[in-house]
Amino acid sequence: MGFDFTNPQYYLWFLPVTLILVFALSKRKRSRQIGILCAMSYIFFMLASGWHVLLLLTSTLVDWSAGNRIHRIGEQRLKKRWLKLSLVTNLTLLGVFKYLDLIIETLGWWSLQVGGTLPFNPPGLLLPVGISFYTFQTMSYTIDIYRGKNTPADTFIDFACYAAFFPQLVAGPIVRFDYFREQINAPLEQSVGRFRLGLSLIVYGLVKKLVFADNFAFHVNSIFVDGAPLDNIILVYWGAFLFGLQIYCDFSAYTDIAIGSGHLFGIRLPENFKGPYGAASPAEFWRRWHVSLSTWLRDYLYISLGGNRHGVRRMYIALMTTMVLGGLWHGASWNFVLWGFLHGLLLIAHRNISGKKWNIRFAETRPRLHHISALLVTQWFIFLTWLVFRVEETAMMLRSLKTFIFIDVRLDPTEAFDSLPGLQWLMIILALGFCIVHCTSTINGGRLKYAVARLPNIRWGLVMGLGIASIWLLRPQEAVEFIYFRF
Amino acid sequence: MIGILRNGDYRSSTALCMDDGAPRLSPRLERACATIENPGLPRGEPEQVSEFLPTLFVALVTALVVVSASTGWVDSTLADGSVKNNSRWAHLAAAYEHIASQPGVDVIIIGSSRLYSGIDGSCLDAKTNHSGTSHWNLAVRGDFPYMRLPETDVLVRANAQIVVIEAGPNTFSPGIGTRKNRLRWEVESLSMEFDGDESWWPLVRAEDEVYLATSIIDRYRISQSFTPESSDELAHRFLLLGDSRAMEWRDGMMPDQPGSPEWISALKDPPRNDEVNLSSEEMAEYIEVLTASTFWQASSADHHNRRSLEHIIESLESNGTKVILYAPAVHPDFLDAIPAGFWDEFNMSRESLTVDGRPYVDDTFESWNQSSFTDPVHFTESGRERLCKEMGRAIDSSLHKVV
Repeated sequence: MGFDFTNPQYYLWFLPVTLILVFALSKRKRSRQIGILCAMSYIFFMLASGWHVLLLLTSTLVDWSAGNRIHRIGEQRLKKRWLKLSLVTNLTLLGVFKYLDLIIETLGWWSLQVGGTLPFNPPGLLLPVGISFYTFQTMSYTIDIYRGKNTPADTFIDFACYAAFFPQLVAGPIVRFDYFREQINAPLEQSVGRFRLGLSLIVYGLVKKLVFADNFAFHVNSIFVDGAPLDNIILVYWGAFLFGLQIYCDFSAYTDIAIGSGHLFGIRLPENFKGPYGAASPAEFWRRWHVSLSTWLRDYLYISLGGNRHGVRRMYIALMTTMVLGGLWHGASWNFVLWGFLHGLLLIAHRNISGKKWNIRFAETRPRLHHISALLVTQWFIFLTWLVFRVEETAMMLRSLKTFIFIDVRLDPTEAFDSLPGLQWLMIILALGFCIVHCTSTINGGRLKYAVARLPNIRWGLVMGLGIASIWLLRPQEAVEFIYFRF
Repeated sequence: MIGILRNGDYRSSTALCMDDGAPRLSPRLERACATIENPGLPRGEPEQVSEFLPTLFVALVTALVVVSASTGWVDSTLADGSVKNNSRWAHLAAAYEHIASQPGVDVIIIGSSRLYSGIDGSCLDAKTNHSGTSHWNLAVRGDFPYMRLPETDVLVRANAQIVVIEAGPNTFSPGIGTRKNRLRWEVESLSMEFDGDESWWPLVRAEDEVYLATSIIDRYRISQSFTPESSDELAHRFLLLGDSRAMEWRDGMMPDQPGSPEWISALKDPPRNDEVNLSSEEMAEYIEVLTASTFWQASSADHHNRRSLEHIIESLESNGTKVILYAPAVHPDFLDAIPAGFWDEFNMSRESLTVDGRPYVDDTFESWNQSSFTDPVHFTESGRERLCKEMGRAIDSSLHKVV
């Protein structure tokens, strides 16, 4: 088992030792606290990804130097050169460790099409944990300094701690430096209330991951396999539905635990999910799903590509490029590119439709019906795109997509039920339970977890106890790695 | 839900909070946005540590109570056969205890599905010349001596006068199964107590010790491994307002509570699925599988099953219990199909265990009628009758010596 938030070692020694070092041995000594957090973050990363810690160090050193130079140098040309160094270094790390295999495989495929072969094979490099997150994070640091929106960190340790802060190091949220700096400007302080909030979020996240996401994975993994009857509409809809829930529970659980862990140290991290399945348009979905990535893409890619300042056509190109690259960010596979492309199409289609007179009239005359229809249509498309995200094998993906859009389908409940690996009834209860909780939470602005943290003492203890018991009792025997752990 | 219409796009309050350019509609919405972006701390003054520690204690106690309570639920769904169709595993300890508490002469028959399907204890009770003798069929499907080891102590404590142990060619196979087979130990661990000091413990492979609970934590861990299935059963009953899924199968089960009249009959003549006669093609295919299977190739070497069998025999005999070894007959077509020398090592094993006058009844090479078998190795009603006659005779002659 890798070193992540589901590893008991994280709670048994790593967090307690770090808390003791930060608060008991370095009380109110800010630099020492940040130094310890930085050191422990590097230890965390080494336990999670071994020698890849050198890549993190490289990215940190380059961006630290680039940021300082950009800030100090007056000449624009030299500033640009340092910015390029930062971007090239980070993108090269990403390119080599994340995309090299895909590039060589694709070249190999094209070579075969024209009757040749490549003289080399993909090196099969192991993807360093969290590389997509920390490179984006450190790039935003240098870009912000270049744009004059930010000043460099006061000390190298402050910056290194920002780049490596262990709760958000491997799967986000992608934090901006100014946000992080606000948190560490003064000595880190802890209060009982904040500690309780941190614990609440950690337990909340663990329930989402181990009880919901990992159990849903059990069914999803048995549906999208070779030989499964993917022309059976019930099976495909069940698989798409459960995968949508799985990926949300898995990823948002990581964020909850990261935010909770941050609170234990008196550091607040931004929210990353805001009830995405309550979105009534693709644009709204991206304001609710992986918010730190979508805002990063908006601020550093979409706007850099011109955004909506150069007419509709350029805007569509910028939008599509942003979404395709955003898709590719998720992993070295053409599936993710296609996934991003489909989301780009959805965003463009939505832009077109939302301005139409009939739509505006519909929304004005029947606002509630309009909202419900928009929600259903949006979510239908969102879940369709999850199939592209999940099913890697092309023939299986095409078959699943055809079934999802009702082409050549069969309706056979018995076959669907028999194709599943067991625990069907438990899965129905979990899925229903999740939908009820997610709807309630979304309607209330995504505040359920905070409402839990605010419960009166005894009730809080009871809810936490139930959460811990459900984690112990309902977690599957086989551990499932966080989906975004290797993105 | 608070919402706003803008360009035909109905937006929820949450969406608005995320859009910096969106107009703020009301103080209520402002508050909602502030809560999402700065979810912050619990209201009121920071709590004192002295107030917080009891809440942690409440959380821990709640977790412990729920986990302990769930163990009861898990155990009950295992025992009634709702979760695993071989709930016999969950009942063996109670069965041995029941036998120990019975007055009179007891004969226990243990072995695999062959004796499970072949022994009718009530028939044996009626056939014996020794009144007051009870015959208990505690055979288990998929049994081999290594899997029987953890039951050694409860078997000995049952204080039966005679124990009949199946010892056919399959008994002497060196194969001890896989992780799947160890499920039986995990289920048994919830009703039997082990501490790691038992005489048979050294015979358990180090990698298999994890399947036997020697502490309360182990029991909770094992119980936890069945919780998702038990919860699934709970969900099934809740959603369908249905009965236990144990109703879906019979073979291997002990469906009734220990102590009930049905419980006793289930120990003597266990419930079985309806007999399905194989077609000649199916029979030929089955025989081909068996002759190719290592599970039916006996070995006279010193392997886990051999050592386990010898240990169980030794434990029983040192307690004063008479042991009879029994090798049931097989389908005549199976007998014809086995290659020459296929069971030579079985014969060697049998010879080595026939010492000090220990009875060893070997029907393996006896030609029984085809109608005695549902398949190459399991018995029909008429097969059970014949087995009752053959085994009854052997048991009776031994009873003469021990009673």
